[in-house]
Amino acid sequence: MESSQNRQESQAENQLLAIRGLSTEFDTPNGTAHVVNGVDFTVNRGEIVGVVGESGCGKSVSIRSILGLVRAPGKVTAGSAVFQGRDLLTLPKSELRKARGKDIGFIAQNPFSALNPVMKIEKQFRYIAAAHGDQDGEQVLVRARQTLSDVGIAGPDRVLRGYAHQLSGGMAQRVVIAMAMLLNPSLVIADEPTTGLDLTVQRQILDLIKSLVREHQRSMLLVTHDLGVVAQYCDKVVVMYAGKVVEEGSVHAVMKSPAHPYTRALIRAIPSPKQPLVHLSGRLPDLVHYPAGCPFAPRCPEVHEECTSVAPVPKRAPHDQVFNCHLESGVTEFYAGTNA
Amino acid sequence: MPVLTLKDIAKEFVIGGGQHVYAVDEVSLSVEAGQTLAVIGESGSGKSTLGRLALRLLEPTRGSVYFEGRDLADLDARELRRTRERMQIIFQEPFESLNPRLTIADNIAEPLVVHRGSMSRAARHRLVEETLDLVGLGADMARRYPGELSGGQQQRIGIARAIITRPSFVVLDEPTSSLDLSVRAQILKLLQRLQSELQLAYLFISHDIHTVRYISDQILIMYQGRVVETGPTEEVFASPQHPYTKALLASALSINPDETPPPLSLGGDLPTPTKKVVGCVLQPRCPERIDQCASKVPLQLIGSDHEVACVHVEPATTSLKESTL
Repeated sequence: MESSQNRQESQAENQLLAIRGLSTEFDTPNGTAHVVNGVDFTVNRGEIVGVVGESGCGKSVSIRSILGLVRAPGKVTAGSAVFQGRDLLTLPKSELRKARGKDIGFIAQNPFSALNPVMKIEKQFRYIAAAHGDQDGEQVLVRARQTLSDVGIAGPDRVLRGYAHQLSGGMAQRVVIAMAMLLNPSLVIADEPTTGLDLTVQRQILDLIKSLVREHQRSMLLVTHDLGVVAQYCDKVVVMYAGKVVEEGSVHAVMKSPAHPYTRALIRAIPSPKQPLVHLSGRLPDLVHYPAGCPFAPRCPEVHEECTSVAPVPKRAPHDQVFNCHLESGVTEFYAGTNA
Repeated sequence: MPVLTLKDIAKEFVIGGGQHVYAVDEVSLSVEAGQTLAVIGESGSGKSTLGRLALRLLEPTRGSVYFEGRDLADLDARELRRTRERMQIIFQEPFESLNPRLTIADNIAEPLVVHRGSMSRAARHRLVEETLDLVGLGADMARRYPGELSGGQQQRIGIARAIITRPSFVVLDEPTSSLDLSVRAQILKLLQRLQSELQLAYLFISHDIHTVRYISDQILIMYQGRVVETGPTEEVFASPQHPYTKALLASALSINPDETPPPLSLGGDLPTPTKKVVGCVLQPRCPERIDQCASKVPLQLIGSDHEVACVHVEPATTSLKESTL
């Protein structure tokens, strides 16, 4: 008894961000859309957690919700997001603003919309530092140069003196990464950080982000739709569908022995010479009239009666991942392990 | 005889300040009936320009396009229009490429209005229904509008419109890139079925390595307007020769966490396309660069029809080259 209590305490200590029951709704002309619908997951210290799902699954809105960036007609209606002992959802605006940028670094998908097009890069670095109370210009510049060379930019001064449009996509994303790392955050949130970049540049950027996270024992929440990125760069993965987490666990467990039928469908939908291509028919459920049972039931190849009426509760699969489904997880090995 | 052949085709665009963009630089290829040639490359590699040159939607700066054995440059306007009935294109953004104010039936029938003006209304209607059925949609779809449809359904409409005139050659310009994973799989399977039923020749433009490997028979890798390597898809995947091909294929991350990708071999970013490069286009980024790379590096045959443009690659013996040409 005592040891299990100790274990729980040490587990809590290890948690950097714990999201519980997060719900975000949007008012639409047709009614209220339940875009994020009771999301739970945890980011432990030093961990890279991938959040994966198709468009409309609520992955980006979940991230925006915990950062306080959801604007009307959307609003966060329930849940908590405890980060370093404080609930981000109830934090006063000024406190949340302090946490963003300083404790939580953010890397957006498109570097050119994240950077100010009419302001020199140097000034943008100064603004970030000044917003967090650091007015010493010379010192900020020294740190900006250092972070820029950390992200692999050979001539930091030339970049600092220039504008965003003078940079290639890969270079601009490096600048955004340097800005996110400038104030030494303990958590980095990256929303599809390489989706707009060229293929041969994508891996450079992902390798860079990963090494910056690992070197400084940071944690990262990496939102992506690319299962390859999850498999190669994350420790843990959260699979979302229709505003809910359908499966969460170690990358090894989820990618090699997926327990939820939706996770299995996603993996099988990747074209590969080693397995037949399987597709899902149907579409996302109507988020205004959220289904009573499992939201995946109408498309699920393994659906049975109770799925359409009773919402499943999370349970543990043999490989220690948690999944949200009525099926008993009789899954042994999903595929032989030779799959590409 | 190949359905479509491009011979030493080049396209240069003149931009401000008298500068030229060398979008496509001396590319040759051919596509056979019932076969898929995939053109793969990063943004700015010239792959979409190549697709438009193949349909003669763009006039080439140099080189020729042969469709079903005839040089498109020899055709007058009327003949060209009649030929176009048999060459079609499917776009990346299904919604953007459909007319939102026309019903699905009218969207699909648009090519018939252009190419078969004399067709009776009833016959047109029958053909629309038949084509909807071919792409796996019900006849009830006909009266609806593009905005009411999901992305996957919209792309089926885009496909239906392309095949309604029963073409022999179709350019597919990133047809699944804007679709979600589960929908992408449906569309790929549909494209495969249509190809075998209608004996279509596909020029499949994509930057998605998993998709290309799945769908294509032959593959052509473009970088900065040039072909760096081309050959049978499985052979190129099994033994890529050009340093760029190796880097590109290694950028497709395996979904198996145990299969770690090889270390990165290419640094740097893509160069500006306004500079005419004499030697190998990869020089500034290539880890295997030597002095010879600065002089002209032609494509050389190394296998039955596997060609590579790299100074490090040993060409096949002359006899093999002659016997396959």
